[in-house]
Amino acid sequence: MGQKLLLIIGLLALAHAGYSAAQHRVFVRLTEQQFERLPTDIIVQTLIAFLACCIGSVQLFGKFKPILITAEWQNKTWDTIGNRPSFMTFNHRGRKLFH
Amino acid sequence: MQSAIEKLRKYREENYRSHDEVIELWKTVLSKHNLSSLGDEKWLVLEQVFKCALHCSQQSIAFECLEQLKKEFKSTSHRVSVLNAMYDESIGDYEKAEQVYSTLLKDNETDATIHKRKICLLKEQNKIRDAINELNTYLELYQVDQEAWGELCELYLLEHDYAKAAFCAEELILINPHNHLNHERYASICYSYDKYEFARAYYFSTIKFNPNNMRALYGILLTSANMKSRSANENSNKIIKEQILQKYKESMPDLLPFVEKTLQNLISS
Repeated sequence: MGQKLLLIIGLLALAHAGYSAAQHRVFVRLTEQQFERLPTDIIVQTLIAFLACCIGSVQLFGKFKPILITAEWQNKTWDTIGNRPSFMTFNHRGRKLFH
Repeated sequence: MQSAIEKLRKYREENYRSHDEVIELWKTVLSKHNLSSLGDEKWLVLEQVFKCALHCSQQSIAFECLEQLKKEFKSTSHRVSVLNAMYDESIGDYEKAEQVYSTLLKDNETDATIHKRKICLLKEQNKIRDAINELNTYLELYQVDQEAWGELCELYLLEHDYAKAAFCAEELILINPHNHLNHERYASICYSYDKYEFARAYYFSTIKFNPNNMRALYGILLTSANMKSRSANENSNKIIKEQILQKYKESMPDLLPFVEKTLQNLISS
């Protein structure tokens, strides 16, 4: 839930920053000034909104896996890795053990 | 009931082998609830419970699940026919299962699951040589099928044909080079038919991937005990012995004096 909120806030902030930048351009044109650069607070808002969107979307779409490729199999036993479910046969001692 | 469903999902996805637990869950929780709240997962759960029931020899539970599946998916569904044939296999009616598989294969020659079930039929009737031949023809078509290579390795080991089993283990290492258990299996097969240098090298690569693999640690000491030229190995043997003792100290300190003595004899013999 927190990630969804973060993502929504990030997107809204980004949209707001874009709108503010467009408004600023119109203002500069109306007052016949030279267009130097965007005001710093719009730039800061854009960067923070971008960061929020990145973090929110990455957290939302699934768990991270460990980067070491061998870490996946560190804790698995032979029982789970050596299990071949397509080849299951039924004439093992389960017949007698579970009655 | 929700936790039971989650557990079943985990067993399904991670390929666990806890058939008796699944049957317990079914008996205590799931059979008393109506499963339609799960939607499509209901059929997966039923199939999973069916297979576990066959493993635990609870034919009545298996029959119930099969009836529910048949009611939903009629008899034209391939998957349900395969389950039906599995039920016949488990009660020992191999001819009927063979007929079902042959008719299904006539409909679709490339169905991998049916080929594999036919091989299982041969294995259940103890015709290991025929099963090996069939599996070889299957593997010529489907060369990257990990389970099939694993199964062929087991069948060759049943026949004590270590050279060919080593070949299958090599294929498995090629498919999944970072899995420490594949290396350990290959090393153990090499050890079983006297290729001690190879075995030692692969036990070391097993430890490289998983330093907690006890079998590989013991394997290194055993291979060097069996090799002729032992002078070069003494340093690494000492390090490995320290590692084994460390692990025993962490988990089972009572056995420590016995293990120390055994390892001392092993290294110095």
